[in-house]
Amino acid sequence: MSTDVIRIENLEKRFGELEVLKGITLNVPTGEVVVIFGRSGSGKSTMLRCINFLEEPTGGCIEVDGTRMEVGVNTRARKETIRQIRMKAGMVFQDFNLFPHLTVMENVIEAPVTVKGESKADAKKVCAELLEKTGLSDKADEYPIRLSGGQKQRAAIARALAMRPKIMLFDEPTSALDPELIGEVLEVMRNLAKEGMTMIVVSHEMGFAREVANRMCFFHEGKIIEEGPPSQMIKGARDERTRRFLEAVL
Amino acid sequence: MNVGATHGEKELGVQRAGRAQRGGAPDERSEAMAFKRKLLLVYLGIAALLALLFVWFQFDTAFMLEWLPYLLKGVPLTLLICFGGIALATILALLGALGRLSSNAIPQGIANFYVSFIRGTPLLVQLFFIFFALPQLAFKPSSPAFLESIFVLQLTVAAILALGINYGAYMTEIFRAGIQSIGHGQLEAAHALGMTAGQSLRRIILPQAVRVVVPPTGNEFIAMLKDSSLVGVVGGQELFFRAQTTGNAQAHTFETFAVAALIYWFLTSVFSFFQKRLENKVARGHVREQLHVH
Repeated sequence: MSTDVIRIENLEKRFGELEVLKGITLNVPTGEVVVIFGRSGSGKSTMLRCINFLEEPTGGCIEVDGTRMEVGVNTRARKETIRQIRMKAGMVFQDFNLFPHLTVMENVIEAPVTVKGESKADAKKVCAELLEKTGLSDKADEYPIRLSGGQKQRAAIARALAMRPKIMLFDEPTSALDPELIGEVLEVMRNLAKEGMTMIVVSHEMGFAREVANRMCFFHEGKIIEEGPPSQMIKGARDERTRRFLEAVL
Repeated sequence: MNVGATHGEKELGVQRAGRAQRGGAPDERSEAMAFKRKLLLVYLGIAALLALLFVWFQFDTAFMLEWLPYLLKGVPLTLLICFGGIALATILALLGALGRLSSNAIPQGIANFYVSFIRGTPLLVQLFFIFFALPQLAFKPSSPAFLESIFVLQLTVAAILALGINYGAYMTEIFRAGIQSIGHGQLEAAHALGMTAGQSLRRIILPQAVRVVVPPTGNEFIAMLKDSSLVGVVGGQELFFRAQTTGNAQAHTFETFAVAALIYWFLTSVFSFFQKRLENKVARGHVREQLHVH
């Protein structure tokens, strides 16, 4: 159990009357890739955003690489713990959220320099490798507006990796992309998984899931109602609701 | 780009661009040229009309030239007041905007009061208050002695304070809108990377807000350049004061005011030019967007 990078216990989130997460429990061991799928509004993204506290959970507990956070009041120490968690959990957004006033290289070195206090020269050296890995070496000095959607998302992945995270969270990383650009982003993610990165991916890319995921979780109305390895989930889901959803997306 | 273009000219420019886009390529050029020629004719017409007025009313151009250097001597003070004023206004506007956007009641309450009160009272009243009324407070029986050195102000300092505080209130709203125009996703991305609230603001939000805020701030500066003439009313030896006093004394008010107006116009044109360059500079990363605007 101690090798779990992420432990989510009985996570709850409500927006006023609306109960979005109704007690999610999910442990992810080092190196595992978990793909989360389900209808929109089922709480997938909310759960992902609760892990790094972009959304404040209303109940339960989250532990990222040994840093444990429970729901509570906003103190200075709590803010610092949340920051520690965020540094350990890299996040990739559906609509990239690159910083438009910075070049690709500046985007990628921003957090190592500002947050970790690394020198620009050192950060650039490390980040040049990340840009090579994501196939963006020749785009280092371009501003994001000059990039295609696929390039933007790959730059966003490089930016998150620059913090040397213990886990990567992907929030529908290919949903905003034109179909012909999805492949290049999935390719980067596939390579990342091969290198042993622990990943939680909210996605409906079933081909990617089948090939890369160790486990798939089906979200329905704020709960995980079924989980298992892709072979079992895609071919022989037990739950009627999972089957119906998969029929619709496959 | 025509330096110091008025709103009217800008609107015409937009119409022309719209028409040009619809037309074919060769037409488009000749049509634009024809329009430029017409525009030039209008300007020449205005110039001729003014010249006619000058002659008709027997404007004393020799007098104007003679007193031009004296009026120009007021320009440094005008500029000093404006640069001081805009610097103070920028600081107050940034604090004001952060206060208005704060989730803490204390800074928000103070900022709300500041904007509401200052925007709700005339600049001239504020200037009089700072220059004439504040010193009186220093000499009340209950006032401690040190207040004298704080409340009794040099005219230049009082002018900078009045203009800075007044424009700071208007610019608070500009800065607030500028900060709010940056999408929430930017803040989330910064937070997700482990940045503190302060780091996110300094490194991500404000640099982007600057791009949005520079054009309206330039307008505020140009407005301030002209509002600084109010300082002449309380006796500051700036441009307008000099125009008024010499004009009255020599019975040539029209000439001196005409010269003062021309100098103001020249100054604002120069600053419009630099504003444009600054806008281009802060627009990096938004090249495509800018082309659309053109």
